[in-house]
Amino acid sequence: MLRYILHRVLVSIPVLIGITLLLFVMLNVIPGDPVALMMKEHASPDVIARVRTQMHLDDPAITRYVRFLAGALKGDFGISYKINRPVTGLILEAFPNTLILALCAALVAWLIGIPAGVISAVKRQSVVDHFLWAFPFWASPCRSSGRPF
Amino acid sequence: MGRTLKGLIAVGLVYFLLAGTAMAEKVLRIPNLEDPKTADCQTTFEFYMLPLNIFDRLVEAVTVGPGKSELVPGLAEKWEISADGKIYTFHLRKGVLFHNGEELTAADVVYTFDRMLNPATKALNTAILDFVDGATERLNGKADAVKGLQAIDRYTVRITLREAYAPFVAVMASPQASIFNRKFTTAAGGQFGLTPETTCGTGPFILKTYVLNDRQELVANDKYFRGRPKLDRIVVRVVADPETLRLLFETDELDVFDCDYAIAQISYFYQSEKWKDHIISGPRVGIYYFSMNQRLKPFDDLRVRKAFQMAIDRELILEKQFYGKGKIENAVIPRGLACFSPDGPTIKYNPEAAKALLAEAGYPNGVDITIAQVSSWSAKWQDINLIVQSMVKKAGFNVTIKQMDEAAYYATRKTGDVESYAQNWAADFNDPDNFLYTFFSERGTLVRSLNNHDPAVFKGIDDARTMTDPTQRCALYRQLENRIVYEDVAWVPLFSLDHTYVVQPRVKHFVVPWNGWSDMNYFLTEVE
Repeated sequence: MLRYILHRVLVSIPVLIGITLLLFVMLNVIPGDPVALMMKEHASPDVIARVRTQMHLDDPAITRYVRFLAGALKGDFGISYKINRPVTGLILEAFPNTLILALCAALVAWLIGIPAGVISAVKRQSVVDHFLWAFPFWASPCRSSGRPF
Repeated sequence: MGRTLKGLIAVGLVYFLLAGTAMAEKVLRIPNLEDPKTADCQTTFEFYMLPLNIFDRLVEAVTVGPGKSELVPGLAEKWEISADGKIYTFHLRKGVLFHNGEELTAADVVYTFDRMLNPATKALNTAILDFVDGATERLNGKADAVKGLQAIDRYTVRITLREAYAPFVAVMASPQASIFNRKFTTAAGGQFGLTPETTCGTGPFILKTYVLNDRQELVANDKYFRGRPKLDRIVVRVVADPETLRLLFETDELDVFDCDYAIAQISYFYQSEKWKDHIISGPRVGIYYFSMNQRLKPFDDLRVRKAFQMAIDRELILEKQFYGKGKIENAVIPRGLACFSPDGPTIKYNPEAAKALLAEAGYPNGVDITIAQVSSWSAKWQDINLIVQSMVKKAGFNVTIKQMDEAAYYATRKTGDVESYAQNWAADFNDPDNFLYTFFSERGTLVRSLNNHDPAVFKGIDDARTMTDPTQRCALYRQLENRIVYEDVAWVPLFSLDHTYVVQPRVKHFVVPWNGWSDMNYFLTEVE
């Protein structure tokens, strides 16, 4: 079990790096300038150029990516351009609620899912089994489309 | 006494106490569609409600009538300007206290403006100090202090400009020029303006609560130098949906409804028996316009630009879309702004003449143009663009409306590559420089994708900035407007609009600010 967990943790490292790299490349490829967006109608070329330098946005992409990774490893995700606040703080603020929501969802899933699985296994090929097999297929699109069922 | 009676008295007392405090407290509940993000007005352009109420400025622009403003002493009780227009000496009021109990001194003023120019602040609003001697050196990191900022004594500040700049006093009254406390702001560092604990000014209200994307609460500053405000508390609720805002207003959960958030509701309120007497409306000193990019075809041809000006029936848009609550504009300087001239030339709607001009320009079968539109902006823009699309077809313009993401839009626009777009601009301070320089100076014309590279206009705008005689200045601005709108045909002025609010009957002294902004100072506002 310990080996399995260790394996999963090790595998997740390249996956995480891959995801951040992909997102970073995507954000750099699509058009948009965070400083121009911050200034909106008040955009002035000198101020945009100066603030870009001050925010190190003109550094080579690789330097910026490595800087982001180094910060992220220490738990510092930088400052949100949009709301001027440290991203880590924003995540920490929202995280407890996300955790409660996720735990509740998991709890409901376990309470219903495990007994349902047991019943299905015991009463194989019965009407109940077929229902329990088909129901989630029907229910999950209802859930994602937001319609009550 | 029986138990029942005792109980009744107890309940009654509790009720009286609760109701009593609720009645005694004067609370104004106002809406905002978005979170203001910060109270630090040096690093934002978007929301000035917090800075206008938490801080003061050396000079204040007060509203003296609909669309009319006057510059009055603020933290500075008087000031002198040298004969060459370069040296401004501000004499500070004595005994003004910051929310942390410190007295305002000249050192705070010098610190505030130096902070703006300090590269570490990464300030966006530096343009207001462009003319201060040594500002550029400080911004570029070549100096540790700003040469032109000096505290002469405890209550005297001297600001030296590198060149005369006529609107400087008006600029000092803009929210961006709010004054901070040196000690407090230095200690707050990067957190300044983000939380109540890290926000401090001299203003009539103190930031008490700030919940991101939910609400801000301000309480009265008992020691405000003009006297305690009439309101005890202001609650700003952030509600993204205009329809929800209207419901909250109608169920008395909000005291003010800003019709800017839901233009479609204006006619409803004007027709409502309940609300029609509680509408407060005032002119907005600002202008709606269409841009035309002269670097791109077909707007590189003056005749095409002229045709586009004549192909838009502005009266109809104003009537249909904004219930006629505004005024057609024919130049760059809108009504209410200094140097506004009501009797200049006008643009006449004439699709036939526009069609003939297009033919003359080599487009007898019509011409394709693209209007950019930001997908996340309010429906108002979509409506204007759709009306114009169908309207200008008559003159031979085939309009494609190009939906753009906001980030892409601003990035493309700043390099001068957006073909055409509709937008508005409202005054930051009451001076034509705020309009002419913004749009038609050498820097402005590119960053707004107008590309009207007219050296005479560039020179005129630069000259006007340093002129000190108001009559000569206004005359020069009039010439420039004529050249820009009627000779260069560099943009399409549309109209200026009124700003309409509906308030609960208990709200008194609610005045639309001179510039028509949603963000205003609530010092004089009362609730009954």
